[in-house]
Amino acid sequence: MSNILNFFDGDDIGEISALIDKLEKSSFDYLKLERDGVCIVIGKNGAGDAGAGNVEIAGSMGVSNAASAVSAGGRVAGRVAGGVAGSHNAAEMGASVSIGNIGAPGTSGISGNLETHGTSEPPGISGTPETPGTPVNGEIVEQDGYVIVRSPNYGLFYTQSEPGAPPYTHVGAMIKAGDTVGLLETMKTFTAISSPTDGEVSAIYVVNEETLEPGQPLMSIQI
Amino acid sequence: MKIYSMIIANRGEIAVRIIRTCRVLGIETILAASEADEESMAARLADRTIIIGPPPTSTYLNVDLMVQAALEMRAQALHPGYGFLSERAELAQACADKGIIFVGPKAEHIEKMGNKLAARMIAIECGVPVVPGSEKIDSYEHARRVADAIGFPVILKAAAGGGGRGMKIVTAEDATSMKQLYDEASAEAAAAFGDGTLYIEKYITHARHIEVQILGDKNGEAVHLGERDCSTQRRHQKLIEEAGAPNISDALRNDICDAAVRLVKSISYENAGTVEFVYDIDEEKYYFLEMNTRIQVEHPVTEMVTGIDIVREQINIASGGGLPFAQGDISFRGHAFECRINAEDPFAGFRPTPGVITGWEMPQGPGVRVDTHCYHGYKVPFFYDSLIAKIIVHGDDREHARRRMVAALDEIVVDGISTTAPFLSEVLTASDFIDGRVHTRILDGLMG
Repeated sequence: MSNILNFFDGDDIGEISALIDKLEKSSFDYLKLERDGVCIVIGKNGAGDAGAGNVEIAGSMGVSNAASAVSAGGRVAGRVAGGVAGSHNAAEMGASVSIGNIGAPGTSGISGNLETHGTSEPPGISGTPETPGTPVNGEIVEQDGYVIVRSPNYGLFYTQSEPGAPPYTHVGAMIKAGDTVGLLETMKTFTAISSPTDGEVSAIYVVNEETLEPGQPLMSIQI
Repeated sequence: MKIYSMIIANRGEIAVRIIRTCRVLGIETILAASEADEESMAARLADRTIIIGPPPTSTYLNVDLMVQAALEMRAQALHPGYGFLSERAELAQACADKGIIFVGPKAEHIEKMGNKLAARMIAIECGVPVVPGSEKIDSYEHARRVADAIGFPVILKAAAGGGGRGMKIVTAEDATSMKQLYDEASAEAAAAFGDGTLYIEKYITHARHIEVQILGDKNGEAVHLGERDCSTQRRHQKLIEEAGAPNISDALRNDICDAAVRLVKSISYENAGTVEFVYDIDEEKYYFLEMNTRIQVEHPVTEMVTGIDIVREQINIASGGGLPFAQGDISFRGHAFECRINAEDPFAGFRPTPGVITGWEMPQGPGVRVDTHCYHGYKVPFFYDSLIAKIIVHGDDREHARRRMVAALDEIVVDGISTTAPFLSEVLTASDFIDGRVHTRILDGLMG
């Protein structure tokens, strides 16, 4: 594959291709990786908001790559490609450029969606735009009849107890106060996040293994 | 062969600690860091830094990545630190295969001592006492037979790991629900270590954790650097360690240290290691627990009382040098404490508190050492453990050292995040601690 707007280098493309291959061979339908303002979503069979056979990548233009790994101080001597290199200043750049689909329809492809995708403004990845509690201009607002469950701390969020296990909850699920709706891993300590109320899960704003900040909305529950 | 360059396959304070000794020895240092640690103190102190992957801990747990980084950076040696890959035989073996000097024991020794059941067999073979129990249990019925034979309480433990996971205490009152506890422990062990195999031991109600620092070289020589007491724990995590152990007789001290040396000599163990014992306060007996085949978090207290730089000795042994001293050359002076300062809120159930450090003042003065990777403005990441600093003090005797520690902790100012320092001050001034009546549940009475 050739370079797209200089956004990715050859290694990155290779990594993404490998991710696509892995997802296609796995039993999972949906994979989202987010780091340092770069977000990669791969879906198949219509899973998530990625659509069938789509790869969505959000980030800024100032992406670091293997060639630019030497930092200003000259001390960072290299990088081992262990993932897709991401920008550290997506929020500052905030460029929003759509570069569309390049994959053949029906197969895995790549679309670059260069927009700020910071962790403080999580995307409403579940639920429809009409659902109350979903983000409006990136803000998730409290509304009568709905309770927003928020992250108690920094950490990595898990929607399931272990890989392969069923998720704790899903949109449309009826839950009771005290039910575990996710796990937060902070400094090797796991905290179960429980629902503060009885109700129906109307939207989930985060995905498995997303990094969270304190107060970040996780899901909306219709009382 | 003299080592001239070394890659540090670790992070945090231990990476800084290792780099410091390398700088003194004139060894070029290369830090293998995740993206989260690109701006860390270790990265600033190392001669070079290679970013090996994204922030999650999996980056520091990837053997292939570490070896690839070592080769790419042409590092002659690799120091694994503690935790992460330090006790993974595959890494030691991969280094050996690629001609990289592994600053640690041989893969076969990591493998042997890493398996608690195999380690227990070795201890039995060289006459080191082990806790009454079975080597391995293959069913609930088997566990029950052993429990009835050695008497309750008993403890079920995962054969493949530690840290409290896969561990269940079964008291006489729990005997009727032992089947359920057995199933839970096995499931936990399988989930945490990929191996549900359990073993069963007599549970020691009033226990102390006493361990012995040892060094062994390629000539089969081994010495001990004395014992440490690490009984002051919270949920199996050590909080305060000291050298030497208080309130034990010299005869017992010598016995334990000799047992440790006997054990490591029996397998011709090379490099630094720690032999851990549990001491039964009621019966005044000690038993072999396990061996850690790496440098320990609490190694500085031993350095303070012996004056020996353990990392330097590790490097000397790894480069093929013989031990520069015999047992008789090692002397012990005074007493030392270490307090682990964690980014946790002791007033909110020890909730982890990652975040930006907006104020940072560490204690100084005679007999005070601070091992840390943190600084003013550092953002403590949430990906890794909560240890942010180790305060180590030395004193003429235990009470002198304890008072120094209390004074040192009082100097600490950390803003922006909560730390366990206030809690540790309380422990240090509790009457049981002052009198050296330490045991593994000493904190239960202090936690309210």
